[in-house]
Amino acid sequence: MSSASTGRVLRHLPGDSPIHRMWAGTKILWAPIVGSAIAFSISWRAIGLGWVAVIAIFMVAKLPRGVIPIPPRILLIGVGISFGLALLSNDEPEIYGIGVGGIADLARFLCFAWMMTALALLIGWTTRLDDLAAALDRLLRPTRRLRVPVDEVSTIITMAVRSVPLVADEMRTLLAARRLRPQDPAQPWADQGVDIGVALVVSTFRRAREMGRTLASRGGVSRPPADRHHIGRIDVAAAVVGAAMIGFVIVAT
Amino acid sequence: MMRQVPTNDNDTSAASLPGEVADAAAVAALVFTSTALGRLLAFGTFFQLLSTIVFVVLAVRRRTRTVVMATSAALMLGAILGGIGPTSQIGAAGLFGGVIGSRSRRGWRRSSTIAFSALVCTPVVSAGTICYLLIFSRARELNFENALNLSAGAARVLSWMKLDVLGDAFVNMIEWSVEWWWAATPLIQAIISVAYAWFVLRIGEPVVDRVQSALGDPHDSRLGTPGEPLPIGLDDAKVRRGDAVVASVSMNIQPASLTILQGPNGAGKSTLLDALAGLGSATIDNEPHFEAVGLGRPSGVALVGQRPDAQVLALTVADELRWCGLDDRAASDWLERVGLDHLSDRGTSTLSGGELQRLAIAAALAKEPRLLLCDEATSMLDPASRANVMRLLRAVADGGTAVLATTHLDEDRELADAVVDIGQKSNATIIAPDARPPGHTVLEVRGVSVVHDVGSPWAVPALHDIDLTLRRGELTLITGGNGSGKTTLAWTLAGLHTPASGTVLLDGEPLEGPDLRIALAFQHARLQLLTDEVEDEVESMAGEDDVAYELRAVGLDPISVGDRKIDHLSGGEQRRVLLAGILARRPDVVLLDEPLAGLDDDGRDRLRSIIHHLLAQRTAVVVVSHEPDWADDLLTQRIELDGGRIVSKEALS
Repeated sequence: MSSASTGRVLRHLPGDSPIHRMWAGTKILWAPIVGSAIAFSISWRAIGLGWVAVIAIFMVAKLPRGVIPIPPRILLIGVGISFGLALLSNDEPEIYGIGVGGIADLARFLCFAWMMTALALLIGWTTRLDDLAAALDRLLRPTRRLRVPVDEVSTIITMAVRSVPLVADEMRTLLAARRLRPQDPAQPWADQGVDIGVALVVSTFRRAREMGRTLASRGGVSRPPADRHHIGRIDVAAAVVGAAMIGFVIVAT
Repeated sequence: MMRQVPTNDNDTSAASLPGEVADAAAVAALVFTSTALGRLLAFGTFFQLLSTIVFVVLAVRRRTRTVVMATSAALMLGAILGGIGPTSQIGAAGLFGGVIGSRSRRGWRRSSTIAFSALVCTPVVSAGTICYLLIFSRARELNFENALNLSAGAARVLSWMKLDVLGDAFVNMIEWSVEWWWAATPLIQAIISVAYAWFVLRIGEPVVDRVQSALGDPHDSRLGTPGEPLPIGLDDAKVRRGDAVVASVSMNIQPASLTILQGPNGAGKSTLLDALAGLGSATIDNEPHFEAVGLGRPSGVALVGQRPDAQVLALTVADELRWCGLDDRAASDWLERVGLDHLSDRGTSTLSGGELQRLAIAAALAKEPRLLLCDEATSMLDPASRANVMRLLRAVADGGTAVLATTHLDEDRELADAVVDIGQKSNATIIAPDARPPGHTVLEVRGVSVVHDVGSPWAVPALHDIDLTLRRGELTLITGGNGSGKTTLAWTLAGLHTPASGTVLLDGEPLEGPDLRIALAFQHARLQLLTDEVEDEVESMAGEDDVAYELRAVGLDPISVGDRKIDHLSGGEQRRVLLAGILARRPDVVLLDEPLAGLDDDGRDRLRSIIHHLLAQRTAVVVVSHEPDWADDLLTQRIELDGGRIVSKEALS
């Protein structure tokens, strides 16, 4: 896992902008709700509006262009082949005797899918994972009445977020270890996968055992510290913009 | 697969135990990380399979409630990965993993498990898919249109290859599926379910068996029964792990005292502490009252363990203490007492080992325990942090809490009121160093700078303008504090980092990536040992079959240890296995990252003799360590790093 390829995903880029100051809960609600409205319509207009929002958020958050990840080559090859096949289908309508309907449909789908990915990346760049855990706890609170064990779920989410950098570090070390070993060409691919999987899973559960003792020693499962983020004007503004976008999507299609 | 029944298997409503919550959190973190990687690295299938197998392991070890909790947590975190794709991947991994794991736990045969999984998972997944397709009807039409177009295109390619029959069949199949999609969905899903369950079992069964044999039954950490932990008076008491007697011990602990429990690795110190904490798997003969000492209760017992990362659970320093029920004022008082008040808002993932342990001690004391147990809490720390933590423990004892700390280092005992020795020291043989011939240059570093995440906004310079020469038969020590660039330098010397400028020359040739002539041993040896058994591991690292000599050289008996499972060895023994593999490979350069962390005095002596052995083989050895004064007499040069620069370079002997 070279840092060049994975380092730009889910990685907070510290900054000071309305998007950075926005409550994490607003962002994780906004993206799927507005995204669903666009998916519901999935017209070019709706997708275009989605991209306008993506670009606007990118600029308001003052993100540098270097954060944008370079897609893996295998993905680009796959997209290229798909466009080739779509062109061969020769679907309506025709331009200069060539059916471009296939390409247009494929492009519409990809523009939508990449817009959703872009929204996810924007959340990752502007939100600390720590704030996300606290926001999820706050959003979950009302479900306590439905007898959902909120304290347990919140504790799991908090400890999981705490573990993410440790997991990433273990994966990096494992891949480096593999690169350092003599490669045995006779060893089947699946066996190597099993070896790596076992090493990763064993160290995951070993770490969990120690964390479980720590938790017991602190008095067991209890509610993690409450989210102290102030929900303010920026969050209201985001809600208004989101509602307006949904309205446009419904009216325009 | 292994058969076992976890606690309260049938009671799905009982609240989760701390051990279950911790397992669920670890699994959610692994699944979330691999889904994120799969999404961007386009190795989706591998990561999807990994996620599913992790859930299988969880379901084999824990009740269904825990699997459901872990899946929900991973799903909620996955919401930020965007769109229906990652969410449905995580959901499917949890569903398949949970169902397959729960059958394996009951010892079902493979064919029955596959049939059952398909029967349970097909309706769930199909119902979800059909609902999605019904609600998002325009997206459905677009997707179907794309499927038809792509299949038509593929059919045309096939017809050029004179495979019209195949192409037509393919197009017909897609057309039929699109027209009768509500019927085709469950049908296709059933086929996928059977194939996927078969695939998961095929790859997952060996993984689960090996993981289960490595980990054993889950020892549940739970809150203790309220009780009185002090005083402790033991006279030649037998300490047991399960049925096996691990140690016998005499000691006396009163309030307001600091007792050091000393002994080599593997002497039974941790088992004794588990027994004193009332953790079920360890017991002391004729002393049943240790089951009620109130682990985690006010005025009970608190525990701090060895691995700094696993002692801190919250995401910021202040939150760690607030989570223990302290208000802001009390939290900042405690931070001041442990010397962390300036770090109150810092994320816990940025703390050093020593800072983490001090925070863990503060959190452990929040419930005002009468007895604090520290299991090797200082062994992963550098000497300065270790002294800091020992002084803190002294202050805690002076405040009225009894402290029992285990250690395997003599220097930790100075501040103690009493020292209890447990276990025998073996006599390590140390070979006296002889006069070394001056070596030839083997690895040469010229003006090397390394930048992490180069070309992105996160770019961080890690090393600046490093010059370094390694010669055969010479020992180089690289020291420096946390974040000084020690490990980055070791990775660069091993070819794992590409320099942004400058060159690394191996035998005069530029180094391009890892090379078998250079070996690197990480601090966390387990991640580097990839096979199942000791001898296989050393052989696969060495590329040869006779490794008895090397095993003996690191102090492991080839006959008794050779076929042992790697995961049944202690951390120190695993590191020795790794060193045996490196010895057998006869590399020109050996890099050891923090080889001293967690080693007892015996282990340190043994490491000395291994290094001596390597030097005699004319290997260039580099030790990266917090400890600047270790093995002075073997050293040729000592390099100190700070902020990624060499701040001092000292030639010795």
